[in-house]
Amino acid sequence: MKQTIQMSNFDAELDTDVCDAQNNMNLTLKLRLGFTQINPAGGAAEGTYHDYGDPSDPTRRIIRWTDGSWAQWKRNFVTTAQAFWNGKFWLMNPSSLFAFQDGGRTFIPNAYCRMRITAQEGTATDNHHSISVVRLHSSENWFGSHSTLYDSLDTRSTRKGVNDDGTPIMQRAHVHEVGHLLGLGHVDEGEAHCPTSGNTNAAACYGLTDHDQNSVMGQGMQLRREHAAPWQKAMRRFAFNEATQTSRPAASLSDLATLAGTAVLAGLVNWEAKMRRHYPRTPAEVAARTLVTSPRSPASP
Amino acid sequence: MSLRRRLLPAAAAAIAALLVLGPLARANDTATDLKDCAMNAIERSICVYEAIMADIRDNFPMEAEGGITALRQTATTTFEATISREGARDLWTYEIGFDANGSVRIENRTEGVK
Repeated sequence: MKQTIQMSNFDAELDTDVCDAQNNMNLTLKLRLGFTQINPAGGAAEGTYHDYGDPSDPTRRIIRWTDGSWAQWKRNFVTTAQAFWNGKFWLMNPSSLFAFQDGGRTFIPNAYCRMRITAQEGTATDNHHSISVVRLHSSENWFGSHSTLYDSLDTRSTRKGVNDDGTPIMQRAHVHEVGHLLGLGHVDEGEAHCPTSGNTNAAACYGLTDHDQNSVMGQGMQLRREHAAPWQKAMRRFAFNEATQTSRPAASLSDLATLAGTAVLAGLVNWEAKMRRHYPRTPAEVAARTLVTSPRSPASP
Repeated sequence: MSLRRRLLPAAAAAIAALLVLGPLARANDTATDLKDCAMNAIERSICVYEAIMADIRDNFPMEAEGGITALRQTATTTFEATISREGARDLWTYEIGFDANGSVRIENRTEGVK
């Protein structure tokens, strides 16, 4: 069965039809991005545009988008951002929720975390986020962009910092920004030097140690297990629906209370993220907290 | 002899002297700077801006691709630096102290974002 829920920043689809002894359910976050061209004023071939779209900031030379360059830029954005975030996490199912039968045996699926980005025109009515894009002149190599204003170079790898040993820390800005669109904050949010009550865009929030700076939500390109948070959030919603609709038709606080202390309650809360493939488990394996990281042979018990 | 021909040997000698006396000249830079800082308002401003730029160079934790895009005085002893980078502009505010001997010092730095 496929079911979809609408989260605040994206849609989430859970597909249990694909489950068998070797395959988990697919949890796909769907992000529809509406892109709008920013072109030089008055239909000119060239013009200027202010960093961050703010008239008090410096201007950069921009050129008019062509149909070809626009299509190519959007395709590149989607392809590379999706490749970065898609299929990197597995969420461990700690409960009996979503149990299925295969070959006469019962299995508990984990959730395989997938990502689907769709690029649409900015005028579409169902965009999750709207982003304007300037096309930089070949003489420019930088533009002050932000979460809703990009430039044509934001998909390239750029040096953002330096490790203690002098090696560069590289990042592709759009991959970082998609993390924000999923609801992820900067790597050091909550630390003393980056309080969540202030503006978490301050430079210190991008990490002070090599480890933190190399995070994709810092200055680098490294994924960490905590970046599975958007999928975990969606999975908890699906688990709640599953628990209340299948075993408790009339969901209420008292229903939840009756679930307390059961494995089902764990399924509503704890979906630990892993960054390598884990296979569906038997109820006994779940109870014993055994992880299955190798394909299950048909003859195995 | 043309002016150019007369000046060339002098220029060569001066360059040679600079090469020899380079370290000495640099050692005197600090004293010269202090004197210049006290000389007039322009020189004092230059000293302040140089101190702020050096502080940013030493302490800004990222590569700011846009660089320092603004540096201005907002009050008698308060200065503000805007550092532009992908995603945001950092706004670092400095409180500057002026010594009687002409030197300037950073008394406080507040890191914010615009």
